[in-house]
Amino acid sequence: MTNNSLQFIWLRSVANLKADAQNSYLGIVWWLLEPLLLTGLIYLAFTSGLRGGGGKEFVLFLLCGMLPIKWTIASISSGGNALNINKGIIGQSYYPKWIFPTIFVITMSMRFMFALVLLLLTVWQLGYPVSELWLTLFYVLVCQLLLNLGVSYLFSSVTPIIPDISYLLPTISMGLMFTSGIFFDINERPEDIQAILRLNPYVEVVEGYRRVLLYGEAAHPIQFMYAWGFGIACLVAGAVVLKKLDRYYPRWLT
Amino acid sequence: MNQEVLLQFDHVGLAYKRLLKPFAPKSWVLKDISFELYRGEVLGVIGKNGAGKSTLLKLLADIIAPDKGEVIRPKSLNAQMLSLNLGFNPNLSGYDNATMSLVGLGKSIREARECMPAIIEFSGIDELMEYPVKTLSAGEKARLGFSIAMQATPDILLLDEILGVGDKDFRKKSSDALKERVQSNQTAVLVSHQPSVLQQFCNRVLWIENGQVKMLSEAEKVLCAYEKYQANKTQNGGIQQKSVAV
Repeated sequence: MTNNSLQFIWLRSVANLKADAQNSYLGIVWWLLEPLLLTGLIYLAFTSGLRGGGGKEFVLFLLCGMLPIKWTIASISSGGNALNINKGIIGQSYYPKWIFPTIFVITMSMRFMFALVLLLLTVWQLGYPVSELWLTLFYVLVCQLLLNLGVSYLFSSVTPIIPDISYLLPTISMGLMFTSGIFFDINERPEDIQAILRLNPYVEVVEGYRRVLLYGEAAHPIQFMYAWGFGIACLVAGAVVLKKLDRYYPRWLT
Repeated sequence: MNQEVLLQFDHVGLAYKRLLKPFAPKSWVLKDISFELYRGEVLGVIGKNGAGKSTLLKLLADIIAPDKGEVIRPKSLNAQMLSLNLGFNPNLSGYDNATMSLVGLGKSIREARECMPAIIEFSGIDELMEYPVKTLSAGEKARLGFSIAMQATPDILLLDEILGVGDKDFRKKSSDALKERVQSNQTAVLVSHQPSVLQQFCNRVLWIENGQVKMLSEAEKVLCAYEKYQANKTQNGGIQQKSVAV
C-alpha cells in the first residue's frame, strides 16, 4: 500500500462526493433530504393508520434498520461493480485493483455520516436521552464498514470474470433489505426461521443499532463475532482474488 | 548508443478468448516475442492490423501479464502509455480532474498542483478550467487530456502513433511536443503504421508478424524489408485476384 495509492483513493472518494453535490440544484442538501424524506415517509406510513398504527417506537425501530442498510446497499451496488465502472482507466494504466471498490465504499460511508447524524437527532427528538453509551456505536459502525468493504471486494473481484453476477446485485440488495430484520424483530420469529435469518451477518449489525439507540444497552465487539468473521473472510477472499488476477482484469474488461 | 538494458521480453506469449464461454478456444495474439529495450533508445513497432501491437504496449506498460514467457523488468520501472482517456469525472472542474489524473499517473498531490500552470499554459483553456469538464467541447477535452498526459515523466514512454489532437493549431503544437519528447533522451516505444514516421524517430524497429518477431534490427533495414514484403504481398494478391477473375 503506497502513499500514492492512498492519495489516489482519498482524492477519488472526495471527488465522487463533490461530483454528487454538483450534479443537482440542491446538491449537498440531498444527502440530508433523501434520508429525511424516507424517514418522513415511514413516519407517515406507520403512524397514520395506514398499517394500523405502531407509534413512534415502531418508526424508530424501522429507522435504525433502514438508514444503515441503505448505506450497505449503496456501497455494495457501486463497490461490487467498481472494476467494470472504471474499466476505461484500468485498460490505460496499471492500478492495484483493490483501490476501486475501496473508493466507492469510502464515498458511501462519508455520505452515510449525514444520515447517521439525522438518525441520532431523530432518536433524541423523539424522547430517548443522549448517553455515553452511544459512543459504543463505534463498534457497530466499524463492523458494518468491514462487512461493506468485504462484500464489495468479493463481488468486484468476480464481476469482471462472470458478468452475470452484476445482474444479481440488485436482487441481493433487496434480499438484504428483507432479511436483516428491518421491518420485524427477528427474535419474535420461530427458532428455526431465526437460525436461517441469522446467517445474514447484517442482522447482528441492525440489532446493534437498536440495542444502543433504543434499548439503552452498550454495544460490545463480542456481540458481532459472526459479522466480524464474515466480513474478514469476504475481505481476505476478495483481496486474494483481486491480487491474483490483478493483471488479468484489463483483458476481461476491454 | 548506451547499451544498458532497461527491460527484456523473454519468449512472451499471450492468448485471448474471443467468446465469453467456458470452453471457447484461445487464440494466441502473441506467440513468441523476445527482445531487449535499451535506455535512451526509441524502438519502433510495425506490423499489420491484429498483429498484437497494442497488446505488446499493454504488456510493456505492465497492465497485463503474459500467459507464457516473462517480461523482465526492475520493480521500480515506470512505463506509461500516453493516454487521453484519463477517466475524467464529467461533473468536476478541469482543475480537479487534472489533479486526480496526475495522482493516478504516480505524482503526489503537491507535485500535481505544481504542474497546473504548465497544463493551463499548454492547453490554452485557462478560462474554462474551473467549469465542469462536461461543459467542455470534445476538442477542449482532448487538449486538456493531452496537456495532462504530457506532464507524466515515465521511464519508458509508450506511444500508439504520434498523433496530435484538437483543432489544426493545437494538433501541430501537440505533435511537435511529442516529437520533441521522443527526440530527447526519453526511452520510448512507438507503434505506427507509417514506415516514414518510424524512419524519422526510431533507432531500431521490431516487426511483428503472426505473433512472432519477424525481424528486429536498425530502423532502415527493417523498414526496407517490411516495405518490400508488403509490395510483394500486394503484387501476389493482385495476381491471385486476377486468376480468380479469369
